[in-house]
Amino acid sequence: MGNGIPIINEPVEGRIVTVIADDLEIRGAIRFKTSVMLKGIFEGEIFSEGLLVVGPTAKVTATINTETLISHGVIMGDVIAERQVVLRNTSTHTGDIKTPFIMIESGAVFNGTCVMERGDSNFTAGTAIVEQPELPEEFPPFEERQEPLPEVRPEQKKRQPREKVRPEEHASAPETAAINEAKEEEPKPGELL
Amino acid sequence: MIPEKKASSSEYDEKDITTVIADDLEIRGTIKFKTSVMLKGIFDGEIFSEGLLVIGPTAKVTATISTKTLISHGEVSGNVTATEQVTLKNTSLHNGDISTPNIIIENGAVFNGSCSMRAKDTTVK
Repeated sequence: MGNGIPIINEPVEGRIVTVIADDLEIRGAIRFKTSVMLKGIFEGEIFSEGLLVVGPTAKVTATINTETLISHGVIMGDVIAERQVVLRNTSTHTGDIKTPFIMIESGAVFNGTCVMERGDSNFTAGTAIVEQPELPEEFPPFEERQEPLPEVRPEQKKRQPREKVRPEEHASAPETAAINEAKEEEPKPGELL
Repeated sequence: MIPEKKASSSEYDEKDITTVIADDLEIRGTIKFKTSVMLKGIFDGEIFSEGLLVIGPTAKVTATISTKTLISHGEVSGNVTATEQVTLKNTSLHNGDISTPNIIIENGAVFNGSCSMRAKDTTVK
């Protein structure tokens, strides 16, 4: 299935940057870039450039803008996800979804409208998908977030002259580059220690 | 590459399907059946089923579908009411509304339309 479908790679809870426990109730707006797991009650708006995980105990009433949404809980509200929406078997979703890739597991409840645009007008069902390897560039698999470990080393060596960041690579895979950058910065405190 | 989830209710064996309509057959009109049908060709019209409808990867179906179970690998335009389950496989493209108590959409499937499910948790706050 190498046809550009983002691979769902749900991080374990310990790898999620912020975990909001189930006794916390939030009203308002949250904004984040990496990953957040909600386990409590949330009402308001969510703006994310990363991963939002709605835990099985969560009740979220919100307008959600995110890159990836993985839901195990109860969501009411409209969702726009730039990369992917995953509704796990315990999830209940009431509201509209707009995303290029969706996966709904058996057992999940979804009431609403789903709109999928992949910016690829010649996309058709069946065999045509398999013949289109172009998609991966547009939607790099989510897995790349965790993959870079072997990649980081050559990247670091090449990156020492920081100004020459190979513009072509940035153009072709800006997201990957950004992720690698983030990954690179993480190990640094460890080195200092 | 992607580990495929094998949900038993969404799997079938083509040999077990009573009628297989091959991909060179084009049908316009209404079909009614009680056991299982696999469509691989072009269908335009209405489908009333009390059993399993499988839409093959080569099929193009423009229809109002009323069935117990729908498994789609192909292209469907039209509204679907399934009393048991709808499964949109990774190669499927669905334009139209779906009404069913249980739905599975595989990673890669395209679904444009509304989904309404009433079976479970209707009392969710």
